[in-house]
Amino acid sequence: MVEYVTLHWIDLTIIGVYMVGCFALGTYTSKYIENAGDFFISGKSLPFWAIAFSIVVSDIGALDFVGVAGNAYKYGVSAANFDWLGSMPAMVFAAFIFVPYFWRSGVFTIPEFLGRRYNSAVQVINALIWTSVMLLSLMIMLWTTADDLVYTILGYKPIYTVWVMAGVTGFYTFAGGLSAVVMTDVVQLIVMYVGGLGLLALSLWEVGGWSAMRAKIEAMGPEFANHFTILLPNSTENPFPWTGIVFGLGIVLAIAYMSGNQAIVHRTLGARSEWDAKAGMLMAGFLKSFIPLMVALPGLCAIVYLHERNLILHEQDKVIPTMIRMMLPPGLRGLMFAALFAALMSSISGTLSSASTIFVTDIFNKLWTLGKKKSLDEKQALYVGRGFTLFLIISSALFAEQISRVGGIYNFIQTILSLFQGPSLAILLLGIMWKRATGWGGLVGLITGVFFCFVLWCVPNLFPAEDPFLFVSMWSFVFSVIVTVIVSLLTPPESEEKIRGLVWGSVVQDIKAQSALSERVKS
Amino acid sequence: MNKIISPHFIKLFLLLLLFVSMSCAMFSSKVFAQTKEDKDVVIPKADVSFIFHLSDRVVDGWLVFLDGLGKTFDPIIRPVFKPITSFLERTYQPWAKICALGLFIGAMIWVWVGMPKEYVNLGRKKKTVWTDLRFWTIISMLPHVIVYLYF
Repeated sequence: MVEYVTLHWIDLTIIGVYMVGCFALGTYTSKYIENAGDFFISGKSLPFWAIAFSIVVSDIGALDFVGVAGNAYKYGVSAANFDWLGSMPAMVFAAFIFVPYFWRSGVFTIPEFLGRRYNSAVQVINALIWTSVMLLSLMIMLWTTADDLVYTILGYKPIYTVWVMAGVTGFYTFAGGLSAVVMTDVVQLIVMYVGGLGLLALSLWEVGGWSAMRAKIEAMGPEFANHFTILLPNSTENPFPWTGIVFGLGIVLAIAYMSGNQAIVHRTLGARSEWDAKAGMLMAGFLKSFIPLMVALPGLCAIVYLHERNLILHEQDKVIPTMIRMMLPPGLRGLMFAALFAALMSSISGTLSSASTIFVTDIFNKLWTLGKKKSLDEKQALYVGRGFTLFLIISSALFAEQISRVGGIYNFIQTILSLFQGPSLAILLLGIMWKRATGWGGLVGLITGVFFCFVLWCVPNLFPAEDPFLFVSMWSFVFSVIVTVIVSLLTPPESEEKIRGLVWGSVVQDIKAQSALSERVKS
Repeated sequence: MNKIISPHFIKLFLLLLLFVSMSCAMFSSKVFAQTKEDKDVVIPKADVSFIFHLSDRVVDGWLVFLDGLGKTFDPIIRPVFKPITSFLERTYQPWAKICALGLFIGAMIWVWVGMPKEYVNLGRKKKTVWTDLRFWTIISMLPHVIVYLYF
C-alpha cells in the first residue's frame, strides 16, 4: 500500500502564495510589451544580475533535482560534474567568445547568427533541431514533476498537475515574453535556493553531518568505494568515466550547451550592454556552483538515510520524492514544493520563450519571406510568437504522458542532446574563430556530423560507458571540425563584407567594425 | 482581438499546427517503448490517432535504418576507436585530475593574460575593481579548483 502525504494548510498557503505571486508578476510585465523586440529579447534592457539569476534557474529544472540526486544516489559525487566541470569553464568561454558576438550582431537567436555567418540552410536546420529538442524537454519537465514528484508524494493524478503547471506558466510567458520569464526567474531562484538549502541542511542533520555520512557510505561495501571520487576510472561501469567527463562534457558538451543553447544564451541577447551580457554569464556560473550542494548532496544523504531504515530504492529518480515524503516537516515541505515548482516553471517558461523566438525568427519568418518577399513586421512577429508559445505549451501538456515510457530521464535528455551538440559547436566555433569557414563547409559539417552521431550510437559497445553520450558528442565534434575545414578549403571564401563583425579577426583587426561596435555600445 | 483573427493569422495558425503535430508525432510510442515497456500507457487518441499510426510506421522504418547503419559501419568504425579506447583505459588516473584542474586554471590564465583588458570589460559603465570581469572570473573559478582538489 503506497503511503501518500497530506499537505498541511501551511504548506498549501506557501505554495498558493508562490503560484499566485509568479502568475501576477509575470502577467504584470505584459504591459511593457509593445513589439517583437520587447517580447523576444526584452527590448535589450536586462541588467547582469537578472540575466545571471535567469540563466541559473532556467538551466536547473525539477529534472535536475530528481535526476542529479538520483545519479548521486547511484553513482556518487561524479554526478555533480555536470554542474561544476560541465558549467564554469564553459560559461567563461561562452562569456568571452560567443556572447559578445551574439550580442553585437543584434540577433534574436543563435540559428539567426549562424544564418548570417553561413547561410539560411544552416540556420533552418539548426532551428528545427533546437525547436524539436525544446519540445521534448518541455514534455520531460512537465511529466517528471507531475509523475515522479507530485504523484509519488501526494498521489495527485499527474495529468492534472501537468495542466495546472502548463496553464500558469504558459499564460504569463504568453503575455510577457522574455521580460516575464526573467522577472519571475529572479523570484524563483530565491525560492529554489531557500527550499534546496533547507532540504540539504535537514538531510545532513539526519545523517549526522558530512563526515559521518561519508564514513557510513564508505563502510557500506565495495560498491560504494567510488562514491566520493569525482573523476572515475575509464573502465568504470557507470556512465561518467573521466575521459568522457573531461573531454566530452568539459570541452564539448558543456561549451555547446552554454554557447549554442538558445534557452541559455537568450537572456544575454537581451542585456543592456555587452558588459552586462558577459557579467551575467559569469555570475550565473558562480551561482551554479552551489547547485550540486542542493541537488547531489541530498542524493548521497539518501543512501545513509534509507539504509538506516532498511529501504532500498530500485528507481533512482524516486530518491528526492521519497526524501521529501519521509523527512520534511510541514512548512518546509511546502517550501520544498514551491522550490521544485520554481525550478520547473522557470525552465518551462525559459524554454517556451526561446523556442517561440527561434520558431518565429528562423523558421516562420524564412517561410514567410519565401512567399511574401518581405519579413514579418513587429506586430505580426509578436502575434506569431505568442501563438507558437500557446501551441507549444498545449502540445507539450497533451503529449507529456508519453515520457512515462522513458527510464533514467536525465541520461535520456543528455543522449538526445549529444546527437546535435558536437556538430553544432563545431560550426559555431569555426564560424567565429576562423574567417575561412564557408557556408558550404558549415552546412556539410553540420549534416554529416549529426549523421556521424547516429553511426556512433548504432555501433554497439564502441565506448567504455553504459550511456556513451559524452563520447559521442566529443567525437562528433572532432569529426565535424575536420569536415567543415576540408569543405571550406575546397569552396570559395566568404566576402569580407559578409563576415565583418561576425568573426574574431574581423573585430579585433578591422577598424570599420571596431568603430561601428563602439558606436553601438555608446548608443 | 479582431486584429489577431485575420486571414494572415489563420495561415500562421495552420502552419504552426502542422509543425507541432509533426514534431509531437515523431516523439510518439515506439521510440520511447524501446527503453521502457513495462508501463501501460494510454495514448491520447481523439483527433490525432492518424498521426500516431503514421508515426509508428515512420519509427519502424527508422529503427530498421539505424540497425542497418550500425551493421554497415561497425567494421569501419570499430578498428578506429578500439585502440583509442584501450589507450585511454590504460591512462594514468592522476591525469584525470590534472586535466580537470587544467581546464579551470587554464581558463583563468586565458582571461587574465590572453585577452586585452579592454576587450574583457568592454561596455562597463564604471571603471572600478568591482566591475573588472577578470576578478569575477577568478572568484567564480576558485571554489571549483578547491572542490576538484578535495575529491
